[in-house]
Amino acid sequence: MKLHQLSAKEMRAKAVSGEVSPSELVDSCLEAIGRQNDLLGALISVDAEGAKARAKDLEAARARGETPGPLFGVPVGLKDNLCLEGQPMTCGSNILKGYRASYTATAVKGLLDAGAIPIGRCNMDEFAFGSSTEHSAYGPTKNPWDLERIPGGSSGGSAAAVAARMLPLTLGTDTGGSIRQPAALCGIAGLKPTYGRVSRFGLTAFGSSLDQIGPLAHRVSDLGLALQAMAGRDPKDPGTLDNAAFEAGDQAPSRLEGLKVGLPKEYLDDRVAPSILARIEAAQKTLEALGATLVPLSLPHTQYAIPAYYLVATSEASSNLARFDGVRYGNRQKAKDLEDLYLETRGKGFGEEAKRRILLGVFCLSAGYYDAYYLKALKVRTLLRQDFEKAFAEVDVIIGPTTPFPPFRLGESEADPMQLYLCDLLTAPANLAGIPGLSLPCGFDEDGLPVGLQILGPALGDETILRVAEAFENATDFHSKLPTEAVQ
Amino acid sequence: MLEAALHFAMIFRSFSGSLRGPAGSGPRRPVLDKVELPPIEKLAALARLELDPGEKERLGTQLTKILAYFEKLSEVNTEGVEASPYAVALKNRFREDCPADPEDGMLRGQDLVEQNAPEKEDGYYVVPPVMGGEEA
Repeated sequence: MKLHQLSAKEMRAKAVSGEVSPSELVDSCLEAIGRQNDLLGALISVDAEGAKARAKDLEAARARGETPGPLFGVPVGLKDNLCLEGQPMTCGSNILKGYRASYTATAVKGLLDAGAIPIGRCNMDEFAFGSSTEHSAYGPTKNPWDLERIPGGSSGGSAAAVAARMLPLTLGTDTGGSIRQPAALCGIAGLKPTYGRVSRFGLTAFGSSLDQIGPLAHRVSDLGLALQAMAGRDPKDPGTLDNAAFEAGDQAPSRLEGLKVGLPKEYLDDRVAPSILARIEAAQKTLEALGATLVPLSLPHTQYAIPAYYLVATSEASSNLARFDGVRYGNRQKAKDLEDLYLETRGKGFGEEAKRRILLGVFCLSAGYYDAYYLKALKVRTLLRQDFEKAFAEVDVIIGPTTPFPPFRLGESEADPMQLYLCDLLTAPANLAGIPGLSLPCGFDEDGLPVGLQILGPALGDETILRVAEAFENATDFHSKLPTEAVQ
Repeated sequence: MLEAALHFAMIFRSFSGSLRGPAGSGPRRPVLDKVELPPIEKLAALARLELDPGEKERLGTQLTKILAYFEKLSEVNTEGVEASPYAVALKNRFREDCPADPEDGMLRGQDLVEQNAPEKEDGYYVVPPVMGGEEA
């Protein structure tokens, strides 16, 4: 197996034992990126020199006798909405062309402190608005399993880079499913932690009450390692929880005796493609064979999650994106006066999906409509959260599909944005409720496209869902299958 | 700073004044019903977005369709239900008002902050005239 195909944990072990150097790991990933990225469009920019220099620094520190961190020598990719001092950050938008971050996000600093090596910026839907990574000013990302199809989004670049084994580990962000959905469609694992577990400081805000940073990897244990490096109370993000810190367990359980697994009927009805339902049924049997007990249950407000989510998310987004006005940074347009500067900079800088969401948010928050839309959505959010609270009084985890349908073909959803919004049907409820969720591969449909199993846990139940996921991974071999020859 | 303050003041005034719900419905409407989307030009002005004619047409049609889908929420009885702006109960957190640790990187980045300025003079941001509309 080539070095760039190893997991983060395996890379780290080889680097610590001295079998390979961090420089060799970086070179191997750079070679894979050079060979595949033109085809896939997973990375917007690559900092080869910076990565090589950091590898040398880590080697020197090791030679001085410093203890290697839990991600020592591991090359990583960062979604292009996360700040790393001195590096470009575009958020997939024209409006931030040429912008360089003046500080480092707390989550990214966590990875750096653990010994990781940032190597490139992962493509994304502009400002994380989308579920397909087609809405990027830097071109679409393609699905490594079928180059005619979308990789999912908005962290599509982060998912495709891992699926094609350019990198073992990347960071994404999840506001309504933007880590779990692309992970599912690209056949890898992705974790959205509990809201408040990972600091959002240095993340370009989309929906502040929903956003969480999380890892994507091809092995579940790497998700735990990354979460451990990032989680914790951060004075710079008042939304972080006092008990946010996380410690990754050593060994996954081989059996799941005593575990109660909830099966919500609303996640398994005819809104979900039959090819996906079949894989989820098989996954249920696997969990049962591992000793878990399946418990049918209901999350009655699921059908209202999409309208509630889009009302909350676009309202928060329209407010958060007011800061992009061309005054202090970004791609300023020429204008005759200040008002015109705002109009031109924003009109030319934002893409159409961003404009759609800003307009929707401005409408929902405006006087006379606020109560009927925004406030109503916040009340429905309470009901959705209570659905989960009742369910988790009975079960330890909830499972279901991550996505209702397999990946679209590129361009297929362009005419009808509603179609794309429905992709978030099964992922957005976790963001509204603030609970952790992950997706991992559970098989392939008849076209050979990957299917994702979603595992949800109660607030701060991140460890539980990671352990269940790892046990499932150990009992199956879906994670070891690689996409088409063309992209290895 | 002044520009920013003015900018937000204008947005606030627009929200509270010029864009009211349909006449006769009153400011507090307990449930959703058929809502007409205000003219797209009005929303675009509030959002400070210049739209070309094609965008106006497409976005107007799409927003109407999306809003029609959102009306689904009117099926839900939310009487007596509290709103959840956040999923977790957050309390305001105070921190000490003291200079940042130079090592934490926030002060190191000042050069980069300046480099990011589209137009600057003597450490200030330069913008075109706030009022008037003369050619810059």
